[in-house]
Amino acid sequence: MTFSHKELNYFPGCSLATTAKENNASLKHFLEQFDIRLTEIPDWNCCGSSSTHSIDSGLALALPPAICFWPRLTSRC
Amino acid sequence: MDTIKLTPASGNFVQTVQEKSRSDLSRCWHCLCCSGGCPFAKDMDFLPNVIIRMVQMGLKEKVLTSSAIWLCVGCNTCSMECPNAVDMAAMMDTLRRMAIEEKVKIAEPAVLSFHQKVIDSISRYGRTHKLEIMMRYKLSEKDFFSDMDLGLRMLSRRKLDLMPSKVKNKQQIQALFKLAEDLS
Repeated sequence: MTFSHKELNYFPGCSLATTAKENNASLKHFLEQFDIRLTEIPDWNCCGSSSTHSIDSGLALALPPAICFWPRLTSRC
Repeated sequence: MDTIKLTPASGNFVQTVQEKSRSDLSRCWHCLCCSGGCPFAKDMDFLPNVIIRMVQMGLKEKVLTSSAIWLCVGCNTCSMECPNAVDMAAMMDTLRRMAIEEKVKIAEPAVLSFHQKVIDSISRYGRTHKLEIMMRYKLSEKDFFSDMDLGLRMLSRRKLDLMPSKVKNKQQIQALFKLAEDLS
């Protein structure tokens, strides 16, 4: 199986770096089998998780788009 | 048994909740799919569909001071299972925010405190630092020894980082918090 994209940018999130690091490892290992390399989005921020949408609608709206758009705006991605 | 008095003013509450949550609660036919699927229903004082009915009846104070709205973790199972596409999870979010805005007595202050600690951590580092959130939560609740074994097991399996992972661009985070204030 071949894929047109050999290098993908991705957002790991706070959990994938710590409490769910085995998921991160298995994802990377799985994609390596297809010669796909994952690169972390530069300087990503927290998506806000369930705490922001529970009590602060503004933050819940502001944080996730920033992960996608900030690297583009600052042309680092 | 409590008598529920319905007044014309009772209708305002359901309208406000519907507008804020962008969900049409009148579509609920109380099939209990939401309550049946909710992983926390057994701990709630009112089942999720009962909350809908109470909102419709304008029982504002009872709803906003219920523990159910705080025990909801926002997993969205209810919204997914609803055959009539009532967005229950959005309703629960709205009710929690309304409870804070209206300054009513919060039924589960520990849950609110935890959410606040998570947001504090994001404002400090741009990311969540779980160990610190847990420690600060334990300190504020003065509950030092519960779940200690679980915490130690997580530490020993390196599931909790000792040092926080930080966003380099601090101004970005400050700007986002400022933007969030304008948005809400």
